[in-house]
Amino acid sequence: MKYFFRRLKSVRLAVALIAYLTLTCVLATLVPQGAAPGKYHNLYPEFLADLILQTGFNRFFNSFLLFLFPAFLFFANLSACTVDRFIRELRKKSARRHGPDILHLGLMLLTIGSILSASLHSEKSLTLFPGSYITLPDESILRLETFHFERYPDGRPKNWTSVLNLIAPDGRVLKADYKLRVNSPLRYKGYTFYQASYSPYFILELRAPDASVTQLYQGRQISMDGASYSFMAPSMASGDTGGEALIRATEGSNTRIIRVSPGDRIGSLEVLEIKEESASVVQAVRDPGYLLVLPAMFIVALGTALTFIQKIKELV
Amino acid sequence: MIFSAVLGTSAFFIFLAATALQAAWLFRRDKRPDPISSWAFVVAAVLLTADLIIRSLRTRFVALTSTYESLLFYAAVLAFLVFWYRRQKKLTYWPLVSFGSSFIVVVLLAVASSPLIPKEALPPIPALQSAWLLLHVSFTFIGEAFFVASFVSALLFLFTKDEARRLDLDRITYMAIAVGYPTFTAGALVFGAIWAERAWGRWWSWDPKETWALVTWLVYTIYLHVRLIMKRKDSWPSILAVIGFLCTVFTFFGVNYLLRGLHSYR
Repeated sequence: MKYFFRRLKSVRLAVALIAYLTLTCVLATLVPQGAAPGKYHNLYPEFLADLILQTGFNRFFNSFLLFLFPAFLFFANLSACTVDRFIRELRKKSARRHGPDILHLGLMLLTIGSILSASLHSEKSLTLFPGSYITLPDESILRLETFHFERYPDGRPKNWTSVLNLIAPDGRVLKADYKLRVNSPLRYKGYTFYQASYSPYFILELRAPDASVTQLYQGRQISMDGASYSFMAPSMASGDTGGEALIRATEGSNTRIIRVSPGDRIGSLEVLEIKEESASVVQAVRDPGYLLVLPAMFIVALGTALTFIQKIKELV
Repeated sequence: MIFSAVLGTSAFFIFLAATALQAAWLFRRDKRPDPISSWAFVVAAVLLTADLIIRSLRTRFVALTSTYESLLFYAAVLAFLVFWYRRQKKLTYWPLVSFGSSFIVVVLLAVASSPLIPKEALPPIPALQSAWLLLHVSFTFIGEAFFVASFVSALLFLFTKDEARRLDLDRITYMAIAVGYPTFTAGALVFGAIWAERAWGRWWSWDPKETWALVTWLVYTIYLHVRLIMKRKDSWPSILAVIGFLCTVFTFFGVNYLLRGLHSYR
C-alpha cells in the first residue's frame, strides 16, 4: 500500500501525465473533432485515418482510453500529492506554506465540478415569437413580450434584447419586463436562459371584412369557411422575399398551393402586407456542475496568487 | 482616426529608435545601460495607452476587442515591464534581456501595422459587450508580457556556458514566470471561463483557443514542477520556458488565423 501511494504521489508521474495531456490536447486541436468518418479519409492517408478512427482520436475529449483515464490518473496523483504535502506542512513548526495546497485543492474541486458539468449539462434552443411562451418544469411560464434587434450603421449586430415576463403557476409575476441580453442571462431555479441569437421569420397581415387586422405567422394556419390556409414561406421565385407568399389551402380533401401578394384575398381576408421580423433564439441551460466549478476556479486563483506571492517575497 | 494613427506610428518609431540604441549600446565596452532608451519606452507606452483611451472613447467601450487593439495593449504592457526591469535593483540587469524584450515590442507593433490586421475602431458585437472582457484580456496579456521576459532570459540561458550567468538568468526566468503564471491563470482561464458561462452558457467548450490557453498553462505548470520541486538547474526549465512562450504566440496568432472556433475575432 505504501509503495503504491509513493508511486501515486510521484512528481515524475505528475509531470509525465501533464506532458501527455499537453501533447494530446495539441493534437486534438489539429485533428478535426467529431467529423464524419469520410472526412478523415479525405484529409489523411488511409492508415492515419484508420488509426484516428479506431483509437477514437476523432472524439478525443470523450475517449476513455486516450483522455478520460489519463485525466482520472492525474486526478488521483494530484489528490495523493495534495494529502502528502498538506501533512508535511502541518508537521512544520514554522514557515508553513499552504498556497500550493489551496491551489491543488481548487484543481481537485475543479476536476470534480468538470465531471459533474460534463455529465449533467443539458441545453435546449428555443425560438420565441413576440407573445409566445414556454412552460417551465415547475409550471411557471416564460413569455416573450418584445424582441429588439439593433444593428450598427455598418450592418454588424449591436444588440439583441428579449423583454421577458416570468409568471408563477399562481399568476404572480416573478420577473417583470426582464431584459435578456447576450452576457446578461436570466437565472431561475437551476435554469439559465441566454440570449443566443435571432431567427428571421415572416408575418402575413390580413384584414377581415369588419376591418379588424389579423397576423398569420410563417408556419401557422388559419381556418375559416370550412377551409384552412397555412402560411408556408415567402416566395423566392421573383427574388423578392417580401412581395409574394406561398399559402397551402386545404378544403376537404383538396389541397393546393397558391401565391398571394398585397391586395389579394385568402378566403374572405385581404392580404395587407408580408412583413419580415426577427424571432428571439433563447438557449435554456441547466448545469448543476457549474455551482462547484465557480468556487473551485476562485480557489485555484487564490492558491496560485498565494503560492507566488510567498515565493516572490523570498526571491527579492 | 488620423490622430490615433499618428499616436501609434509615433510610438512605433520611438520603440524602434530606442531598441536600435540598445543594440548599439550592446557593443560598447562600458557595460552600463544607455540612459535614454528606458525613458523612451515609457513615452512610447504612454502614447499607445493614449491611443487605446481615444479608441475607447470613440467606441464607448474598452478598446480591447480586436487583434490590433490587443497587440497595442500587449506592446504597451511589455514596454512598461522593460522600463521597470531597467529601474529595479533586486535583479541583475542584463542589457540583452532588455534588448530582446524591446525587440519583441517592435515585432508586435510591426505585426499590428500589417495590412492583414484591421485597424478600424469599431464598437463591439453583443458577445463582446461585457466587463469580463476587460479582466480576461488585460490579465491574460499582462501575464504574457512576463512570459516574454522569461522567454528572452531562458533563450540567453540556453546560449550561455558560464555558470554564474546561468544562475542569474535562471532567476530572472523564474521570477518572470512566478508573476506571469498567476496573472495568466486568473486572466486566461478563470475570468475566461466565467465570461464564457455568462455569454455562451458553457464555461468550457474545448474550443481551439481555450485548449491552447490550457496547453500554455500546462507547459508553465510543468516548468514550475521541474524547476521548484524537481529542482532541476540544467537546460530543461529554460527549454520549457521557451516552449511556453511559443505556445502563447500560437494561441494568439496561430489559433486566430489557422484554427476556427468561438474566439475567431480579428
